[in-house]
Amino acid sequence: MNQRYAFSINGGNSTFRNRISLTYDVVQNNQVDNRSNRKGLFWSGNYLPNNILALNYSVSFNNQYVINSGEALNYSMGSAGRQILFPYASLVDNDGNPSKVFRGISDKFLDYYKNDYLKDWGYYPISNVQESRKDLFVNSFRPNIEISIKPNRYVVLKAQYGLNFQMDNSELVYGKNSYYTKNLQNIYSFKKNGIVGSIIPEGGIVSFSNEKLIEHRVRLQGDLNISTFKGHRLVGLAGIEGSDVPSTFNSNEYYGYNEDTKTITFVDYNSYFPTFQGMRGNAQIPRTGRILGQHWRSISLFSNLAYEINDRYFITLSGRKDATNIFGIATNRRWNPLWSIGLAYDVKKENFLKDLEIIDQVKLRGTWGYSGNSGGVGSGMPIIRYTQNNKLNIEPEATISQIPNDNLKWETVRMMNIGLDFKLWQGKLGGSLEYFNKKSTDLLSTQFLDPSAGMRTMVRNIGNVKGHGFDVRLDSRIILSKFSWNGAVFLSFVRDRVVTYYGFSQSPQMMIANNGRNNYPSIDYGFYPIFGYRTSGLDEHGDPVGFLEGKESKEYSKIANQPLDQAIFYGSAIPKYHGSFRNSFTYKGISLNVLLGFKFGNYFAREAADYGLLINSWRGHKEIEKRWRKPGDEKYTQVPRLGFPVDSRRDFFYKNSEANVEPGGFIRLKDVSLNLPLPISKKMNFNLVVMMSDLGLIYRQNKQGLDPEFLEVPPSPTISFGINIKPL
Amino acid sequence: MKKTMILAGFICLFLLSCEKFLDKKPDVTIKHPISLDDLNAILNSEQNFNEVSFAHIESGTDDLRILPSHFQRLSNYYKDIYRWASGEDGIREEMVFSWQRPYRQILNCNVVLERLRTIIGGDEHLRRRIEGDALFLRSFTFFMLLQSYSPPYLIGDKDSELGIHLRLSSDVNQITNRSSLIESYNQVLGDLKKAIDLLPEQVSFKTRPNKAAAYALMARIKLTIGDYSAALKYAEECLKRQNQLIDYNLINLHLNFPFFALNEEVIYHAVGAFPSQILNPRQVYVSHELYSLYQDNDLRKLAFFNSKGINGFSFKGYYSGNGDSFFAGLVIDEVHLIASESLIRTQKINQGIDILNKLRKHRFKKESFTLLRAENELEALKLVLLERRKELPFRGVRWLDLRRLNRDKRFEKTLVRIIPDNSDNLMEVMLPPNDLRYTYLIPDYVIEETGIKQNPR
Repeated sequence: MNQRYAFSINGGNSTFRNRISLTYDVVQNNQVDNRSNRKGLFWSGNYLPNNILALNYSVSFNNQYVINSGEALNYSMGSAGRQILFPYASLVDNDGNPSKVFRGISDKFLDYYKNDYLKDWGYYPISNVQESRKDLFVNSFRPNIEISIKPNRYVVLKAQYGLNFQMDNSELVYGKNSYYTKNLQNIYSFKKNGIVGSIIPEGGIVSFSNEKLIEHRVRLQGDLNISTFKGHRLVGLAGIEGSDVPSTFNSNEYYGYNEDTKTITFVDYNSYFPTFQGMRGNAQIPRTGRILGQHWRSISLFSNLAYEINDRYFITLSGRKDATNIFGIATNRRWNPLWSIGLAYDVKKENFLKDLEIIDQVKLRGTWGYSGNSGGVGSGMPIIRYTQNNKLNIEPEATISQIPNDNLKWETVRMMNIGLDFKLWQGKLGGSLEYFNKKSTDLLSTQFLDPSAGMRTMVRNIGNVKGHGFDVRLDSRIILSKFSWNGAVFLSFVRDRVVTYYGFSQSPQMMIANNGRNNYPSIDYGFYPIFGYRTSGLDEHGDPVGFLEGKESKEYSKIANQPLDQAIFYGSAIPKYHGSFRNSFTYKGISLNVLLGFKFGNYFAREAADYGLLINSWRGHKEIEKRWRKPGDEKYTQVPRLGFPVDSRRDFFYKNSEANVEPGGFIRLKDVSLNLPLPISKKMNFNLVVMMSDLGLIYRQNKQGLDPEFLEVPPSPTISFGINIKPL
Repeated sequence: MKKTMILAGFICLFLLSCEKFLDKKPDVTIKHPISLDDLNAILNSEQNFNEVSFAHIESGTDDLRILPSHFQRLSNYYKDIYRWASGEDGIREEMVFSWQRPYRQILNCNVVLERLRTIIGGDEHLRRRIEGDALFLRSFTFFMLLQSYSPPYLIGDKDSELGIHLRLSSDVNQITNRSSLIESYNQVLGDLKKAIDLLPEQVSFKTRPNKAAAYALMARIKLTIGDYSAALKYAEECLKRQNQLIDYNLINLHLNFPFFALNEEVIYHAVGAFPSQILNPRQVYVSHELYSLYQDNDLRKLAFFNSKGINGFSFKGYYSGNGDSFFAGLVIDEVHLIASESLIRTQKINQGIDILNKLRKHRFKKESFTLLRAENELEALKLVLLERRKELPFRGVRWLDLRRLNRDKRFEKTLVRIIPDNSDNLMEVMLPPNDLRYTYLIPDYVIEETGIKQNPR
């Protein structure tokens, strides 16, 4: 549950205005011991002494405190490949007391050796949450200033500087009774002369981290507005923008931490110690603690020029060049250019339409543009990264993180669009229609290489792509005395296809295994293709049946090695159509807004039962409930019999068969908001605001009740209430 | 005019300062390798060079055994590897480990060698050492690839087209092909000979090779291809520099891991890296046959093995000090055994037995130690080969021995493993001597991408 309080006052006159607001947010997350609060102060204002000079400024201070448990319940089991808590784990016993839960070591082992390790090795998840804690403090200071000068009626010069200074400090304490600490003490315990001790000192384990980030942003811009002879006007702007963002991070960890006296014990990080029953071989005491630093910079040059004739014919020209300090790139490949040229025609201004009352506005426009992307690599030199992973050799170590690709070319995109904007009947109906056409040459993509190259993947140019589509927007407004309705619908259609392809071909198994999750562009199958192995369902043994060379078969690995045309190709995971529909209703000051979103024309492969994953990693799936159990069940279910021993080929076939491909269309209720004025006082305005979001789908094309955009757990609906108070 | 010049000047200055502004490195830890220290740092990375990925080298030997219940949980790929079947039905990420990781190591060596040529000046000793290291590692990696993916080769054999892909440049666009078997061995031996010359006598950390390590590797290679007089020469050069053996009478054999990393017998440290479902040290057991070879007064029986009750014995004698899948480096006990076997095979039987006795003195209970004697070459060979078997389980060496000894009718052996069949009954699978399966299949997606010739079945 979140609470938010805000208070603001403003005042001044036309020359000098100021506004101060204070905010206070409290967040209680859905996990015990996970909450935060934030206090903020925001002051902004402007100073306009005359027609020439204008000054805008703002400063914000924010202070946030977040508290977390150091060992929340969603941990990784981290033992023998298990990833999550096992099914049917019980967290409390019948009396409601915290239960002991298996974590990596069997009870038989713990019992057999119980006199040989130091602390109680039991894991009680519920009570353990309170034994560790992480405190995080975030402070930020953000001043911003903008000056604009208008020396004459043609030119405006602007300069803007913004700073974001942020510091994060955290303290993570694993208490002396926490599982983390006791587990480490036990792993490093030893028995000497009949007495059990541990290399890890008595007490908790504390680690500190500090992060500092500074962001400078500068923008210089000149605006031009010249009316020449009658009816002609030149408008333009040009500017430069830059940012400089240095950040640093350091962390450190101490053992033997006493929270009351704030004392610690220094340990020997270099020697190797035998671990309990050889659990970790001969090992050193774990040590974290590092120093990192980053420094990002970017520059953009931009300009825009427009020439108007008689307020109805427009021609525009715009261009920009962006560069960042990506490492390892040749200077001449650093700048990504983008420019475009456009024409517009405001038809309404013409004499033959000026008096036609039905039409408020009609405008035709078109643009043609070009942009380039160098791919960020290609200097001819490899890049290495200094690391700190060695266990035996303490000298400086580095790893090769990038190999140059000398053949890398610029990716270029040519984009063209034409559109029509219109407004009719005094605004009762309006909208725009737009068609676009795009051509990308030497598209860049990360591809898997021949494994003999040593690197797994590399960014390469892979081909040429063409795309086209249209956007339609319609809005409408109806006003009756006290009631009004506003509606806007937006629909977009996109179609991309690969025209030439010269990247590496990916194997059929790889294409199918990545079903829609990765973009493997190809001429035959487009982008993010979705496939399904043909299946005739389950047989009388509960095994899925596929097709090998047209005949029914259960030889799963032979089926997987067939070419792609033997599987069903459905289409792309990217929707062809998407859009939104917004409605707002107002009556006497009460207003209700409803926003719907929709997507259609795509498919997705849903998560399904994978018995190998269940047996080896304890990751299950709800549909295992509906699996085949006895002969005859094949008439009612598609979910195969639980197979043991693990047959990974059978799991792979079933997971990627047509049984698990669904159409991806849906209509989503995105948010609903209500604004209700409350007649409480005549001196102040009281407004009740209710907002609801993540309300789920009101229609879905798939018959499994799934939300195609959230294949795991969808976000829960949230509702918030607020009251605005404003003196009259 | 002057105004335009000044304006142009300002613009140039401005653009230049833009470039300087953007020259800043975005991350403190990254840079181009432009100095000898940078290349040295690359070679220091244990993850990249000392953690090797030749899991197949140990998966197929008669030293190990896994329980039927563990077998049933293996993925299809690892089931096939364990029962000496084709092993080509795996998902990509399983197969990539055994081919792409070794070539990653070779890529690292090639980058170092190429950059070395472009760096001028610097410490001459450091330069020689860097080149020696990179050649040593490349030779070692190519040699291990030959033991996985090419048929066994003994000196005097006819050439064959089933060598490995010799990648000698970092260019990712170069064509992948298979060189001939003899060409491949020539590359291995050539690189290693140069390395012997260039490497220093001493290093501060045994994760980096020194001359003794290069001699030891050469001795191993020469023994594997049956060039015994050369093997002897190199083994002796190595022993001149390092010959200290650990007396097992003096260490605590009951520890869970009696040996610590970089102990005095280690010449060069390297370990097998995960993942390999078969070689998981918590799940792998030793074969009954191996365990039965050790006499009761052989201290290796206690040092190497842990009783797991009814299931048998697991291995704990890792020279890495940890439960890594196997020790993949070079140890002085192996060099002693190479010297001993080479002496015996070149008619110096008594000298060979002497070395064997020196090793055994460090491995048997002092009170009950007896000297070995042999009347003829066959008897002596049997003794040294038995000692090799007992001394070197899980060292990345047994597979090489099986492949070369199977060529000798006196020592050929059929391997047997027991696995559960589809109805939970137990059945035997066998690997006869000189079977084609002693050469692993190249992963099929590599064949797909490159079109190189697959190994015969």
